[in-house]
Amino acid sequence: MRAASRFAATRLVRISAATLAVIAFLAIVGPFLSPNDATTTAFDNKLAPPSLEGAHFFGADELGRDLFVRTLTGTRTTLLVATVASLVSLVIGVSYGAIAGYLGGRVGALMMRFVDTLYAMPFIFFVILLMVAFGRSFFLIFVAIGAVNWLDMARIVRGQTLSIKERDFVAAARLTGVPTWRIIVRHITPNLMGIVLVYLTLTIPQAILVESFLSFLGLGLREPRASLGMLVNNGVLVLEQAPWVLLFPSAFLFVILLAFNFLGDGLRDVVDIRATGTRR
Amino acid sequence: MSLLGVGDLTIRYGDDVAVDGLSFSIETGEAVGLVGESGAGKSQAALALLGLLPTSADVTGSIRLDGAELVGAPEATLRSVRGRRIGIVFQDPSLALNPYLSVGRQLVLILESHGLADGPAARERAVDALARVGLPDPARNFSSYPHELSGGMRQRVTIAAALLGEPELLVADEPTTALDVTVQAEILALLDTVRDDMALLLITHDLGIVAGHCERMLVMDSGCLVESGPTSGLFRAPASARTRTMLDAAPTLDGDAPSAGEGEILLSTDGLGVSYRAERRRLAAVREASISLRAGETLAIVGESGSGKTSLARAVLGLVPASAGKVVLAGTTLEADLGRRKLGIRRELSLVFQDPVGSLSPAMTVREIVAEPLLIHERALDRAGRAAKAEALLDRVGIDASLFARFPHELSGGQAQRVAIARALVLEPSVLVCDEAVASLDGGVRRRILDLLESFQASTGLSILFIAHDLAVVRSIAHRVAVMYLGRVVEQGRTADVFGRPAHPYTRALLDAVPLPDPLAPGGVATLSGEVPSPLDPPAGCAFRPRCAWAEPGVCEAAVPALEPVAGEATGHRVACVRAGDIAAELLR
Repeated sequence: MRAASRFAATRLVRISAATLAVIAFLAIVGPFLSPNDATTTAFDNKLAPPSLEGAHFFGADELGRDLFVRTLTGTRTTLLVATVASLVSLVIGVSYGAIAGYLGGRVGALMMRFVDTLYAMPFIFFVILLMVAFGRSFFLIFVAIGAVNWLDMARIVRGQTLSIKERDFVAAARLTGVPTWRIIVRHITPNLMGIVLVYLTLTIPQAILVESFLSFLGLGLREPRASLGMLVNNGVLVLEQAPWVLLFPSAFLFVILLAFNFLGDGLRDVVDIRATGTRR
Repeated sequence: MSLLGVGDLTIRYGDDVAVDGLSFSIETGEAVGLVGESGAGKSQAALALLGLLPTSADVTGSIRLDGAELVGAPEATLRSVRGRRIGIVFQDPSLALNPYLSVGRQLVLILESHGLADGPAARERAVDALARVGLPDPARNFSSYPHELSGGMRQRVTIAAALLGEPELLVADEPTTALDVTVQAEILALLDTVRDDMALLLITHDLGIVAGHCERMLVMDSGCLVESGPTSGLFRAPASARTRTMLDAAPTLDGDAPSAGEGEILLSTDGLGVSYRAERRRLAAVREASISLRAGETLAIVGESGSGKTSLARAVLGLVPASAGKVVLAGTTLEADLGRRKLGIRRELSLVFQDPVGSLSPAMTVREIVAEPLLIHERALDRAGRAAKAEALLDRVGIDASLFARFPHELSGGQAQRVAIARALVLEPSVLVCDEAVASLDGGVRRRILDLLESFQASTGLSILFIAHDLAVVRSIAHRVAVMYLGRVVEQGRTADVFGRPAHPYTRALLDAVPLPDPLAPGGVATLSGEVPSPLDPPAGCAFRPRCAWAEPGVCEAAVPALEPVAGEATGHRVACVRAGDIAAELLR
């Protein structure tokens, strides 16, 4: 498709996508290549600086655990949380928003009031409540982040649907008697994908930040599991003695967030071009 | 020396050439028409005169105003030229005005930025300028916001803005394309009167406008100037093939109208009403409209914006529920609500929209779009069967097989409209509703789409309900016509009767306002004054009364005139005017 090729042609987008691919590949494969593992403590190696010896490329943390492996497994966790949470928000948000928008009227209003109600709940209390009720678990993080992110997505999708459903091609489909579900799936949803993709690339960094924030508060993952947010938190505590403990995880976090944002910007340009119909 | 001399002007975007070696000149006080179809490069040329092209444009050649070169001139020079020496009027006045500032304030800003006046003096000059372009009550409308004015009034304001600096040259880029035909006639007449000795470059696709308002014309095609010369000469003996085809495609009110037969009435409405809720009140868009469409014929519904013609069509289709009256198709009364109409009924009525590309689902291919109705209505057909049927019809409407897998945004307007027609006809409906289906298309393309519709009608006996504001188009395609004003049908009958012997003063005014491509009889005369009243509170009695030259106090406001047969005519020609007889008698005298 033309839009896809234009997208690929944008240099910044290409660089961002390549960077993310490299980081994801490292995060998945890297830990297996290192002789160290993420949980073995070695007090003689406490806060060791980066060195090639013993393959401690990023040094070691305050418990002597290898930071290279921990950063990569942390990246893995962070990317997983972000992806799953965003997918949850994508599936629930898009279908909920498209249905509420297309049906409109009383049903649509009721559906959106439900979203407003959820919005009104203080997020942190909500998470604490979940933790208290079900105990801390990896799965709950997905639920918590997904539960918040789909609300935004649903609102955006609903707004977009409201304008799309007034367009002539929807009227044409209604006239012929195309059933409602088919109009939503075949005529409305494909036209939402542009804005949804853009919003998704902006949601992923948001999910990463929320996870880091939860971990920072001690509500996220539990040691010895690691996420980039937790590693950054640890790094801050030993900043003066061993700056590299902060440096490497933050650099990863920074690059990932930046790449997703650039990806989102690039996608938005493509969507804008399609929306205005300019072909040059 | 000419006032404006353009020499070998070339505008490139990368490898695309928008304007190719354009040369022409304009003398002081001269009115020159620049004509061409969309994409001919005429607007690009106009923007170049003002130095308003995007930075991605590569401009070469020369543009000299009184001998001073404008191509490559510094921004400060251009700024002192724009508005001060060259004024511009754009196509869409609602886009040319800032919605957040009152119109008077916008004029004052122009005066201040050119250092022409400020303070109370500026205000005074702005009010004068508004009065000069015929804005009613200029002192009060000074503080009106653009959305509070009608399209015609907004265009008057942009003309006032263009005239503020008393420029030597006024560039008007399709200044009336977004306006109704009666308003168009008023605006063009206004341009003629206000410009005095100002030169005018009028850019348009409408040869009728050039015929009536320009002494000299330039014809452009794909970026090149193909012909230029005095208007009357060019119309009489066009030298280039391009000009000739444009002249042939130009709509006129001559020639034979399709002759109406006496077929069965297939579709009719009886006292149809459509109302919307607006500002907590009921806005009646259509009132007591009764029309009938005969099998195998075309019924045109004409009227200006706000006349209710589109609402009437949408109610017939069930896209908006009728609030009163009924729609009858082949003896069956249809449900007002589309959702309650049975599939068997739905396939009998279909619609072609005004915006061809916007009416096609962007994420579906041409083949899928045309095949979709079959998926709903022809359950027995498999995928291949549907594709085959869709392709056969696409072939008939003249879409090349190489386009079947394309997406709508990859099509031209004409191609997209052909696809839309194929989709509308794939279920072999008995009635096709065309809602301004050719309004957005250029002359030649428009003619071919109309020919396509006529050929379908001839071969399949299709009945067409043709909604349009363009009387010349209607005249060439419709067997019968219904004229609407402010929600009511005010005149109806055979096309030849309504166009030949218009009985309602509004129909007369509409016909007078049509610009004709004939420099000797250019038409385009504004005979109506005032604005269309708001349908929220229409005048009592005859709604046309306040703008009617024939209105008689005490008679016309007494009651809403009924649609009655025109005296002495037995062909179903009906008019809703109590004074129709008197008017006819007086005009005969």
